[in-house]
Amino acid sequence: MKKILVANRGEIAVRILRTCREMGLGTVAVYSDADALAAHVLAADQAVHLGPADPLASYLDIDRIIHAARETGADGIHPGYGFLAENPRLAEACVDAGIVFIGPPAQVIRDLGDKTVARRLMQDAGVPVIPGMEAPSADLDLLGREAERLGYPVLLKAAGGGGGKGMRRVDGPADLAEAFAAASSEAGAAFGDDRVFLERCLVAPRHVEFQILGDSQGTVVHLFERECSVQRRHQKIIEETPSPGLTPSVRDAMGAAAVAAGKAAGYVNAGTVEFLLEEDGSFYFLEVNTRLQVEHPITEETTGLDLVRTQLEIAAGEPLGLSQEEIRPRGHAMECRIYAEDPAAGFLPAPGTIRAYRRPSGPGVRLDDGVYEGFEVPVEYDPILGKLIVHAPDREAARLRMIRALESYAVLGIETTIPFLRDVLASAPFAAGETRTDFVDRHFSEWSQDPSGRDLAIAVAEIERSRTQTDAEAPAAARPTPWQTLGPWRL
Amino acid sequence: MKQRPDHRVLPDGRILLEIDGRTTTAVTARDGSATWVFVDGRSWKIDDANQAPPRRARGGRDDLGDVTPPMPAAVVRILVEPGDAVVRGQGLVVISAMKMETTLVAPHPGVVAKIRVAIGEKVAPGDVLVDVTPDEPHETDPSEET
Repeated sequence: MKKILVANRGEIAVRILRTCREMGLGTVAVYSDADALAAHVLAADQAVHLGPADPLASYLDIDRIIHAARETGADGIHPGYGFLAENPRLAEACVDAGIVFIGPPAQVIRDLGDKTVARRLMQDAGVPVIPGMEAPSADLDLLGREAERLGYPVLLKAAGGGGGKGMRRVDGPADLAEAFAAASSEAGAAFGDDRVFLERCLVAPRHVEFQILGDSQGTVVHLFERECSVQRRHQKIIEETPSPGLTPSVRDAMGAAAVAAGKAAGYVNAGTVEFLLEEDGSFYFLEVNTRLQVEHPITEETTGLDLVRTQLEIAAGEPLGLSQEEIRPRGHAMECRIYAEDPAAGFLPAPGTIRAYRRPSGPGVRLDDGVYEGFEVPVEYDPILGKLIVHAPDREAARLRMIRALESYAVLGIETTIPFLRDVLASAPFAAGETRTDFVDRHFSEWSQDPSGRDLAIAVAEIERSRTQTDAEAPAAARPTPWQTLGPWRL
Repeated sequence: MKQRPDHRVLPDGRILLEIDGRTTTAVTARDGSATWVFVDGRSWKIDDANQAPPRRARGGRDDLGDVTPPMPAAVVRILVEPGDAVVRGQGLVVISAMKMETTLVAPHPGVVAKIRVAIGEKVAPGDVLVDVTPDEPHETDPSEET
């Protein structure tokens, strides 16, 4: 391959383009009206306009994307995550157009992308699964009966994709109808597929996922786990590796199950097998994400691998060249997802213009961001600004490194989740590694900014105001003009 | 803090401060009638007018009792019809922004008088989406209050 088109936006597009550039590949970005000057557009050699800001008219438009690849001569398309990453029709359209799709084959995406088909595939391969429905349904009566069979609380989930979209917990029959309406609607908007199904809701498990890699020769390996239990509304906000909840024997068993899952599906390229882990070490298959995950950087930090590079190499037909025994992670890595949301106001999205922006830096500090100072964060897309990742020799060092990095990261002009993340990282339960999927509800259900720094901020604001006033609005008396100071004169 | 701390402006616009024998830097940015400040690892939005009040939580209602969105969004579902009696806190309209759905609720008990939007419409803070005629206090049945 000589030229890659990245069919995505924001931080992940920037990150993928960076590796392409390192590998000497030509790069093409695509953008909507809202992203004409976005960071990912600036990071590519060429950029093609797709259409209006509405994703359905731009980032989700397969025909326009294929057209953009043809127009620019791109011979590979990387879908990133979200948008079309798990849509088999993009993979198929690439094959039809003679373009390499950087990901698994369309049929694998289709099989694993339908969450109920995936469950069946795993059951057949002997991988334990969570009790749930075998097929999605839009029949409320059927859903109600299934919910009774599984036992409340149940989880309504989208059949068409993951990432927490289209997911609703239902505690009792009275809540089912509205939860169904909300979940289907959200799923339709996120994946173009509004089908939902039910699973039993495990009580406060850990969410532990394994990165897998498969090559076109049938080799499948795992790159160990990521613990992603700190979530809000089923969306991960903090991830780390290794998981504080795994013993070596559970790790081995889960890793083997992840590889078995990959082999059962005929997996090629990068993917993630997600599990829920209970206190006693029993684990259940949740789903396979047939794409690069948001949190892939923490695996890169501990293994030293560039997963996007590996994806490109696999897509080019190269064998993995890595055996399971050779994969030995080092140290501890953590990631915080940085969202344009107001944590003091129910995490309402906070679009707007970034008026000042200072990045954290230092050894073991990595920032995968998609914004810059002056950029107007659009309302139409997922509000992720970027990810802050740290790597350190052990968990406590990583935790302290992350706190320092969050405290050095200045984003002004919009509210962000940075102060909330900092307080989570500094909390006793997080320090103790007591991370379960109910972490935020249990320990941070009502958060507000610690007010103790406010007085200093007010003093600084006053300094800033009087400084700019002096420059801009000085009354005439304060800066006399020569006409006022010139005394009597004559020619 | 009664006294302005010693300070100077750095070449890149940051403000260098000295407080109680320690130095720290602050980043600032103007935003309409407010100043954003990043200092000691935290960011703040300080309004010019009175500098004092902490941010109010936004929840789709304001003190006037209007049903208005807290941020630019699109209407995805309408949960009531004109003539419906509603209680305070009852969901009226579901809006979506950045792929996230928020339900706007009735600010007071009453009757839905008029629905001013349609599904798919883009709305912004200040737009009134639903008119709810409030019940007179003595007309409300105490047993129905939530």
